[in-house]
Amino acid sequence: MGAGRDLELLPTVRFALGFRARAEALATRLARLRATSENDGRAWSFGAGDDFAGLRAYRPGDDPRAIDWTASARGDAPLVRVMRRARGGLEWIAIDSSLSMAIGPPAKLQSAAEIAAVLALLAWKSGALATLVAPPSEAHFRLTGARAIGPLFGWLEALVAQGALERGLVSFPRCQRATWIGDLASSHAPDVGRAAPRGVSLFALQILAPHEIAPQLDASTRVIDPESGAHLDAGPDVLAQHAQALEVRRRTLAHEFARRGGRFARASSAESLETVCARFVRP
Amino acid sequence: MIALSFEHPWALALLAIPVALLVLARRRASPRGIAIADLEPWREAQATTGAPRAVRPRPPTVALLLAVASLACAALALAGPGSELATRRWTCVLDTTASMDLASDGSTRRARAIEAARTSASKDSVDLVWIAARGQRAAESTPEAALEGSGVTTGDAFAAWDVPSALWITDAPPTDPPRFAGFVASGGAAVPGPIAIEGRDRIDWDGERIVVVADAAPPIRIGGLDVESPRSPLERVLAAWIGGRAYVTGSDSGPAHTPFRVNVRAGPALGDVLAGRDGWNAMGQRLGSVRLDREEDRGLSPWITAGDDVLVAAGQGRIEVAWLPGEPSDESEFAVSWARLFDEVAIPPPGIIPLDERQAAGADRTVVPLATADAPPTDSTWILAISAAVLALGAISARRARVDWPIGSAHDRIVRMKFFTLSTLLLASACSAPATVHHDAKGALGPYSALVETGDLVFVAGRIGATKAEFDEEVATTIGAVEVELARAGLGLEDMVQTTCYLSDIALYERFNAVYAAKVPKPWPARAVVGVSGLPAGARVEIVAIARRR
Repeated sequence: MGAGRDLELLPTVRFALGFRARAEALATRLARLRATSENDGRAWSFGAGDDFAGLRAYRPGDDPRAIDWTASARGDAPLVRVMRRARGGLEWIAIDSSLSMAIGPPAKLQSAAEIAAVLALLAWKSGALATLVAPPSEAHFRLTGARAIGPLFGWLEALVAQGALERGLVSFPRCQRATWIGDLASSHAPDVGRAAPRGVSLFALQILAPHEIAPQLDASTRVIDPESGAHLDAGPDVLAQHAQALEVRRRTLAHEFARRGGRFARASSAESLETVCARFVRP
Repeated sequence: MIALSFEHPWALALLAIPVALLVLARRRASPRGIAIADLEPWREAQATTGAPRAVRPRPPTVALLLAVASLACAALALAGPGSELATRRWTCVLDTTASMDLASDGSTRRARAIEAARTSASKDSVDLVWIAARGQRAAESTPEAALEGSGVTTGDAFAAWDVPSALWITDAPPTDPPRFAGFVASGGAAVPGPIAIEGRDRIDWDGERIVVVADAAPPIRIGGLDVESPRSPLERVLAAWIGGRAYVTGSDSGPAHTPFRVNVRAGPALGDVLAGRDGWNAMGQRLGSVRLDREEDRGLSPWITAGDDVLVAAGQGRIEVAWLPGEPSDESEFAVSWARLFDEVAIPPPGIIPLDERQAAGADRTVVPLATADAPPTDSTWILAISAAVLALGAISARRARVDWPIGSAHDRIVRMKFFTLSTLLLASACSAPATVHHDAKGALGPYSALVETGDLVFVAGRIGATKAEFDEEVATTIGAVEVELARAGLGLEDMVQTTCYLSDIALYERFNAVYAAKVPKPWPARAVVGVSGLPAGARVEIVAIARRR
């Protein structure tokens, strides 16, 4: 690749001892939090659902599009529609396992696998049927019941970051919710945005390594894309512009996903699992 | 010649550590590569800021360079560097006759002789080269290589090697003993002999060891020569030879010192009356050959010849000297040629001295290693060790201060590197501190060092000469003693910058001046002559000298 020093790539996933218990506890807490916040003991709902559950007073942070203007006009305070999803729905979780996810430390694939485990458990605890896929590989896993939880972790640990995402490779079937966890590089972010059929809530969590968000550059740094081998030489003078370009991308993606009724969030692979999940799975 | 040597050469292998450190640093200094999944934001950023700058390897840090230098100094200090006088080289001339192959006790005479020569040479740090005594061939590094080829040794072959620093490996005492620098060793019965004359000391081989026989050449007085203002090249050679052999000149010739007299006449007719030596006349001009085939040359007969050339021809009332006035002279060959003649006359060949006679000589001989005994030791090990320590401090300082190239402003440089600056000053002061070396005084009359070297300066303790000799000779031998001490530091009389001379009788001032002027070369060092009431050991003169290394 032209660089004198080896790049640090961590293409495998290894869960720490006790991670399963930690993930299950986190999923349970998140499920309870969501149910409580929605005043709905039967189902969880982050974002839009199919069934109308009722109205509640507007709280700062609510999506303005959820305001029921007609109902609000009858009263003094704005009201928002609370939607819920019936138990027994379908959830798809896609984990980007291309070679770029091996970038770290901490490796993005490791972080993505941990978050996917929590989201799958969260879906299962909410009565949904979670299916996990790992493009560009053909591997997939279906979390059908409590007995599948153990194999879920084994399947995630078998993931290896390799290959590259090709155009058109990403597509979700019709389901209640589709979640994409990956680095959402410019080359395939638009594909992800169009990956879900109309009416499916698409959530995307962009995982980036700390140095991808806030790089520490010296005078002689070569920036390399491990998937394509493309590289360019950069110095500290471009840091400000890079940060600006990254922020523009974040806003664009957030707007794009919100327009389709979904959500986009960005996280660092160095952030704790609890922080990322709480932010991503907020009411 | 000074050669570099190490007390622990294995420690030089430790130099691999700083080298490896540099190589490793070089690898690490290559452009750093970071993996990024999305290059687009970078391309956009570069498009905004302009063309990207080419990535260059980063220069090594100050701390790294200091650390490498420190490690290198430490390795060199462990190796214990030192300089010593280069070893001497002798040529071993091998007898190739069949008798050398006679075997007894499981080895041949030749093998025993070679082994004896090697053992002694190794003990005394003398390098040996080997040549077969059967004609002019290049010397080889091993006897086996020298013995390759055909040809047998003849008596003439050894005679051709009757030169200084030649070692004859033979089992037959030569018919004609070596003249003045020849030498005989033996593969059969021990046949010891002299190797060389240095000053008035004769270096002998006693069959097992190298020994130095002090003052082997008899003291002689040379008359008829004005050494202060030599007028001809021959006089200059003679004056130099007298100095080298520590002889005394003067018109006063006592009964004990009369074996040698040289009278050199100068004048317009010099070339007409003086004989030549090896084709040189007294003026330092190479002689040609006198033609004797002409009609007018009848009556002349060859007087001095060199090969087929007649250098001087003499006849009734007539002397013809063949010389080529226009040919440039070669002073070195001229000097060697005439000096050999003087040696032949002044130092009669000792011939073959039986081993038991040499061993019986006992106390008259002084066994000294020839090569390294007087090698000036150095303090380089200490300097290197101090350098290593200070450089290590500097490296730590530079690392803690995060000093890197390029260093910022002058103020920044001073503030951030103050410790490093102090370390460097310490190093400079340590390196500039003169190393002091003391040489023991053998047979000293009191508690003192004979010679002290410090920095560029060499201090010679007060020297006295032959106290029972006549005053002129005592002065000459005193100066000779100073010269010997200076030689231990690799210096000569010409390196003296100051002398202090003590005379027990100031009335001898003029006579002292005469000898002093003859012995000490110009430009003369600064000097003080002090009349004193007495000197140790009944000496009438004592000289203290300071010399400076150039």
